[in-house]
Amino acid sequence: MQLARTQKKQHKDSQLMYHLMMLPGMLFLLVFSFVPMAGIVMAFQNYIPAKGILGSDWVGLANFKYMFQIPDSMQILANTVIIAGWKIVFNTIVPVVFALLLNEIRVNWAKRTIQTVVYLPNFLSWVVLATVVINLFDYHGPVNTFLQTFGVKPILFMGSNDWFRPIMIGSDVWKGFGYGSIIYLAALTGIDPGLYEAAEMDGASRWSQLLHVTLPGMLPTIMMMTALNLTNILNAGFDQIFNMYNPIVYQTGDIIDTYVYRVGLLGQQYSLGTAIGLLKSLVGATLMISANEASKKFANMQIF
Amino acid sequence: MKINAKIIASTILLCAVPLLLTACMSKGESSSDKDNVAATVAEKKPFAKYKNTVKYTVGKSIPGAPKLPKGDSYENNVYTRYIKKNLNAVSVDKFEAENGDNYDQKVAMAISTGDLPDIMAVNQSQLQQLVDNDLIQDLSSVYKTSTTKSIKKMYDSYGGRPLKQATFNGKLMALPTTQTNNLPTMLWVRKDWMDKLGLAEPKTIDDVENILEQFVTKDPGNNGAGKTIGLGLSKTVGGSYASLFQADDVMSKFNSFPRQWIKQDGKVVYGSTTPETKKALGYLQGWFKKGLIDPQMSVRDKIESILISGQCGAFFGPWWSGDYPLTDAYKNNPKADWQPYVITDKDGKVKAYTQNTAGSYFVVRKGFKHPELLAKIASLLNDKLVYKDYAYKPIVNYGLKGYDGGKPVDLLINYATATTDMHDNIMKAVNGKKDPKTLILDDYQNYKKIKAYNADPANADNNAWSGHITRDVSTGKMKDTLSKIEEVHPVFFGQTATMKQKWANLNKMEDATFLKIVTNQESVDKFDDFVKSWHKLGGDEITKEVKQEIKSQN
Repeated sequence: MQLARTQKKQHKDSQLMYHLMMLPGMLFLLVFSFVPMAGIVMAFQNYIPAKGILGSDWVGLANFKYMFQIPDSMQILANTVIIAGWKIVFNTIVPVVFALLLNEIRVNWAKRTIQTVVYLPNFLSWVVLATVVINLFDYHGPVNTFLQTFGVKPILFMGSNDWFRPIMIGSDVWKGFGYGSIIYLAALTGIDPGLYEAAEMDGASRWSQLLHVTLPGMLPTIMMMTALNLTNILNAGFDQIFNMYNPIVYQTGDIIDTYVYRVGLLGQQYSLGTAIGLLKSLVGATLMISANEASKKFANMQIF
Repeated sequence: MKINAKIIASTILLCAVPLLLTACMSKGESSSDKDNVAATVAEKKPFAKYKNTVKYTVGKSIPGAPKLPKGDSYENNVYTRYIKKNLNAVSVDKFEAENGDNYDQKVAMAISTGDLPDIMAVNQSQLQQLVDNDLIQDLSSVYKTSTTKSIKKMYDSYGGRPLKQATFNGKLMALPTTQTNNLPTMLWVRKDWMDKLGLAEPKTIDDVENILEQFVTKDPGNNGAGKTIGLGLSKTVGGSYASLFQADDVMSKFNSFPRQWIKQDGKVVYGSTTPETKKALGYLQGWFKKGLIDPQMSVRDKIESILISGQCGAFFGPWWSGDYPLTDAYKNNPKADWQPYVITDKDGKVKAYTQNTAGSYFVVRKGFKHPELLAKIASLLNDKLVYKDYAYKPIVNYGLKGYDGGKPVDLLINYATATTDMHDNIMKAVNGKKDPKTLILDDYQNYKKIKAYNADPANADNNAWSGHITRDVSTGKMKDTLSKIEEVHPVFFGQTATMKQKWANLNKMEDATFLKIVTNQESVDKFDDFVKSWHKLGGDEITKEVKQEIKSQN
């Protein structure tokens, strides 16, 4: 009893410093993430800046009703979910496959060089990359020049409703897959080498090792990352699309965030913006919780 | 133990929320209120100096790249010292922000917290908000007492339109900056290409069509087959007053005035929805089909780049296009001989819509004891400094060294004819009919550029060329055209209640329809569908509101 108590006290003392170190972070979270949540009430008001939160009139769910009355709301929602959905799918598959391939490379310097090179685009902002992408798909750009050698007529890629979404998804995956693979490479190093030895003993080929050792070993990480990514189902990537879209591709490329930006900028509609933001967060939170439950059940791994 | 931590955390949270909220809501009295006493009648005269130093706070918008001499600040520079010397008034910056979005956000923040600077610039919708919430002062009487005759004349030169924009229920609530006349826009075209192909100067749109056709088929710039671009055109197609790359000079020939609220046959209509606009878009589509317009206009990021690189042969732009973007084109290739031409109707007339003559609005916070100060500073900087103190050394040197952005209250007021007046003054000096030393600073600099250009046109640098092409050539053509312009005055510039909700969406439809029709992705008949949905999705309501607001203004 006595011993246990001293141990507990010692434990407490040693933890105190760590808790103190955490304090600034917690305060930061409190001030910048929790306190602003009070602003959510704006979604249920006709918020007028001069009157403030306390003085503005309550309108109940009017902002939400209006949101669904926006004539294009279904199209905007569809654009958002389609673009974001495919991004989530490819942003999971491509990094996993890349990590597996990279893992098979036995020459260390080549491995490191490739890794560094594919990380690079992640550190460039879309403002810069948009210009690169637009030039790449220019009438006289490399892609069209290449196609012309096969006798294909030049295509106005960035002004085509057939091509806009694939280009958005593709360029996003290109930008992010290198960086995204880091966590999977880490997961690979976490797999017990003994398992591979045992599999080899049992006569497993490299392919069966991949299927029966590597993939199951990575599955929890993949599940967790997918669960985290699902919160982004309504975030199709504002800065990417904003820098590349034009009125012709509104039909396939106008997403919630670009729409809110235009409405907000033109109309200074704080309440509508808050309402849409709140709905996005709710959908994201619901998806994350259900994905977490799923991964708890199927992969025995959870985020919280 | 666990419970305790939770309680503590939630207590902190609960305490913090109201604390922060009250911090946001508090409407503290501005410090300047305590020391300041109201002005006497004598002190209200435009150039009268205050007996006791008057302190005022401003919301200062600053240029993107700071350009102040070392040791100076936005609160202490040649302009603030000039104001102190003349009026005995000292400014304190309540906030400083880069002009544009950043500044607008600061103003929005100031309005939302109710903690306004004594004097600041706001836009039309912010002005409406300030008036609705009774946060600013009526300036009607100080406009009478504390602006000079010249200032009043300047405002009157617009036929009273700018002040009307700032008047609510008969009360003048702000002093607007004025937007001088920049009409007409011109076709800027590669004269060297025209000469090479033996083409005559364009006068009508048929001439323009011919020139563009020759450009794209004969490739006078040696860009390679199919790579020469005829006309550089904005994605918005038209409807921005006196801006670069608009097609307004073509559309006005069909009596189409897109994106403007105009009176047509006695009825208020939105210019983008008229049958005339359908015709104009159809005509532009014809040009696009023939390849006369940039085939990549819908995705073109910077039209400037194709002008500078020498790929594109023509665009529509205002008189200052020679400064921007063509200075760079000339720098890149001095043989690129860009020249402006006014494109007229068959009978030699030019139809063009005018703009909102008020730019931004300067307002005075309710409770500030010196509402006349704004009018006095406006008079000092736009009258005394320009017409009496133009040789005042500190400010002249400040300008010569390229410093910029020191004025605490950057309220620019000028005559409607300021642009052509400028042309007259400079050219008089160039022709020896006026002493160059009497020119205001900016004009003097351009006078020197023109002198340099005239001395040796073949070897002139890009600065000399831009002075020549804008202050001599394009503004000269503007002046010659003044009597031929038929102005169409839009009847409404503001924002109605329904617009706040539905305009963004209507705008989206409008942008997409214009662009799709011009680039031949949709047939011209789709325009009728657009008009139908435009009316149905809020256009009718908005038109009704606009009519009502016009009625209440009169």
